[in-house]
Parts: sequence; C-alpha cells; structure tokens
Amino acid sequence: MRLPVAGAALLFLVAPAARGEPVGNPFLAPPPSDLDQPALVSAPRYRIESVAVRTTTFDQDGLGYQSAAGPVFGPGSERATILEPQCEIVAALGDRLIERVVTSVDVVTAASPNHRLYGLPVGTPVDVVSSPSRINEAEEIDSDSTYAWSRTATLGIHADYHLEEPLESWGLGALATRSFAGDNTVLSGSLYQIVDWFDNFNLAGKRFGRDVRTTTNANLGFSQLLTPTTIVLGSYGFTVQAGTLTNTWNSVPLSDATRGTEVVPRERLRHAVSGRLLQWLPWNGALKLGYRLYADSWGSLAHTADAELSQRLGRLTLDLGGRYHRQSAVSFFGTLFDPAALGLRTADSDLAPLVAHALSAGARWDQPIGPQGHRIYFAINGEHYWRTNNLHVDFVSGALGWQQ
Amino acid sequence: MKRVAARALSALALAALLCGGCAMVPQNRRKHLGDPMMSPDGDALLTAGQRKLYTSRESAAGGDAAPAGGGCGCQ
Repeated sequence: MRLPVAGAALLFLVAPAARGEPVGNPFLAPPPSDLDQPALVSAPRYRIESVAVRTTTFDQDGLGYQSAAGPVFGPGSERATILEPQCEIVAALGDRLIERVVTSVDVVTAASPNHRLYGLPVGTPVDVVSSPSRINEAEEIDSDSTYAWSRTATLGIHADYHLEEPLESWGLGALATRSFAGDNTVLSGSLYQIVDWFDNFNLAGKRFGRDVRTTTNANLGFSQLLTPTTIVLGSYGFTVQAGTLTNTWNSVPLSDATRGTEVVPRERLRHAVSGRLLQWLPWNGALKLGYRLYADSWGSLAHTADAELSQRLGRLTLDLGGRYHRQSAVSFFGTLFDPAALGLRTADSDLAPLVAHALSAGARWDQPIGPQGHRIYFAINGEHYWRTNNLHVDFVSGALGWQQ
Repeated sequence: MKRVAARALSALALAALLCGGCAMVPQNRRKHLGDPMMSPDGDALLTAGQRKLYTSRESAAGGDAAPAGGGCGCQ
C-alpha cells in the first residue's frame, strides 16, 4: 500500500485533529500551547489515538491481450480475486510527534497470465511464475512519522517495505509543510524514493536472476480555506521511473500465432496535477469534487474526475461516490505485432485507450463509549469499477475501529 | 508532454496565488471544516485500497501527492 505523503501532511495542518487534538471539532480547539516553546526535555506522554482494522475483497474479471490465457490472437483472461486485511494504529508522543503504522496482507489468486495453452510441454507449471500466479501472498508495512517543528511547520518521514514471492520493494520519503495566515493556507512538499527488486522470468518460465526498478517522486501541494465551509486543495507530482519497467512475463500476440515478450522503455517520466474542492452542505452533509490531469513520456494522456457526497443522519454517515477516467494509449500499444520487428511493444490492457467508471457507496455507524469521548465505529463500503476494454472489478470492504 | 506539464504547473501556481488573496477564515468559524466528513482523504485504509485498485489498472498514476508506480509487481 502506498500512502499519500503530502496529502497526509495537508490533512495534518488542515485538520488539527491529526495532531492529537479532539476529533470532531478540531478547528475550534486552541493550538497546543507548548508548540511555541522549545522541545520538552523529559519524556513526553505516549498515547494510542486510534486503531482500525479493515478487510477488503477485490473480485476482478475481464480480458487483456497481454494475457496468454485465451485464443491465439485474442485477449486472455484477467480473472483475479484478492483478499486484503489491513490494520492501522495511530499513536501520539507528546504534542509534537504522531506515528502512524499500517500493515496489510494481500492474498491474490491468478496474479499473472496462464501460459499453459501455448505449446508448453505437459507438466509445465500452469504459468511462468508458477505458484505466484495461482496464489500469491504479499505483505507490507508502512510507517509515517510527523513531527510538529513549530506552530506552523511540520516535518515527516515515511518508510515502507513490501514483500511478495517474486518481488521486494523498499520505500523512503520525506515531507515538509508550512502554514500561513493562521493556517488558512498550507504549502507542502515531499520527496519519495522506491526501489523494487524482483525476479526476471521469460515467457517459458525460465528465471534470469533479478532485475531492479527505481521510482523517484516529488510533490508540491497547497490547501486554502476559502470560506467557513469551503476548502480547496491542489498538487503537482513529478515521477521518474528507471530500470526494468515491465513485470517481464507480460506477452504480446504475434502474427505467426505465437507470443512474444513485452518490450517497453527503460525510463518513464510522469507528470500529474490535481485539484480538489471540499464543500460543507447546510443539511449536515459534505460534497467533494476532484479533477486530475496526467501526462507521461510514453505518450499517455489522462483526465480523471470524481465526486463524493456524504450525509450524516445522527450516528449514521452515508457516502455515495462516482469516478470517471479517460486515458489515451501509450505510443507503442497494439494487439498484434510482427515477430520480425524489433522495437517497443505492449499489449497490456492497462496501457490501452480506455474509459473507466466507478460507482461507490458506504455506510458508517459511530457509537460513543465511555464518558471520555471515546468511540467505536463500524463501516461497510462497496464499489463497482468497469472499463470499456472489458474489465470489471467488484470491491467490498468492512471496517471496525476505535478512536479517542 | 512537457507543454502539458508546464501548463499544469502554471495553473497550480496561479491557483495558489489567487487563493492566497482570499479572506481569512478565523479559528472560531471553522467548525464545519474540521468535521471528519470534510477530511481530504477520507478513511485512510479505504482510500489506500481504492488507490491500489485504480493505479494497478490504469496507465495514469500519481499527481495526488502519491508516487506513480513502483512498490508492487503490477507496475
């Protein structure tokens, strides 16, 4: 799981609740007085702020030309089921340090294409990576530490480690935020570095040692309170990826009725800018509108818009959401290639021209417990995601949490 | 692509400048802004799951203060 580092920083300053102040009305709470003073010499107080567990299932079905589990010249199956339990703990050390730890486990079936239909001898493993394609477990741990340097500035560090059978990944990030004009305006910046280290398999299942992929990312963002009921946020992100940028087992259909290896550039530059408007509604509701523009050096251009409407009815909160995404293909996408031709080629349905839609709904029940304002909550969420190039995913998720 | 990126950055800078000229909202009038329903990211675990759903099935990722790609076997 990847955490929105700068987004968390914006939240940290836009909603002082993240600094350990009372949840529910953080803008009314006075700022911690000791933030104007030098750091404490004695050990600060440690407390758990919240604990949450969530379990999600993704049920995917569809067809893609990168998958060999289908007709010779046609798209193959992209059937997959994923079960993902997650746990989040947020703790505060004094008034300055917030620590957030998230662990997640993914249990994936059919994670990669099945090549058994393409002339491999009897007894060959059902696909090139063998067991990861049938059942693959991935574990991840993420840690975010955010330190209130002063009343108006925060510093943060993010670290994560991801492990699955053919891949290991390390991530490290740093962020800084600065608020102005009585926290009306917040500027943020973050840097992030990821290194992926993974097995290289060819289409016949032969392993060629390890490959490396690096991802370097920089973000700039701002948030602004426009009125007592309106917030606007914006961010720009620049990402450079280098190394082996294919998973090595994606295939492309060839005109001689065989399959070839996907070939993609060894570098990718990605730009994206996004804006978000948050509006409180007078009938105890909230409306969120977002837009994102994306372009990269592989020739893909994308527009994404989303909207979410929330309504509180006593202790029950209902959410409805929708998302629209349109992207152009990367410049070397195709569904049939000349086996003699040398050059870049991919048949990956994720890199194809497509329109994706999503509709989501959720409900959350908050139950106060005890006289100290603690509460527990239950939440259930569902989403239906579908693409115009023959892929759909049903997402169902349930959560249980406790908050101070 | 460079032109798109330059325009996007310009738009972001312009928006930040324009917003900087907005009237101040005092602390005692931020009751609704602090409501959990107004959180930019919503439920963090739910948002992470949705982000994974989108970024592993579309070529466009990042730009919303999160890295684009890397970190799993899908990109």
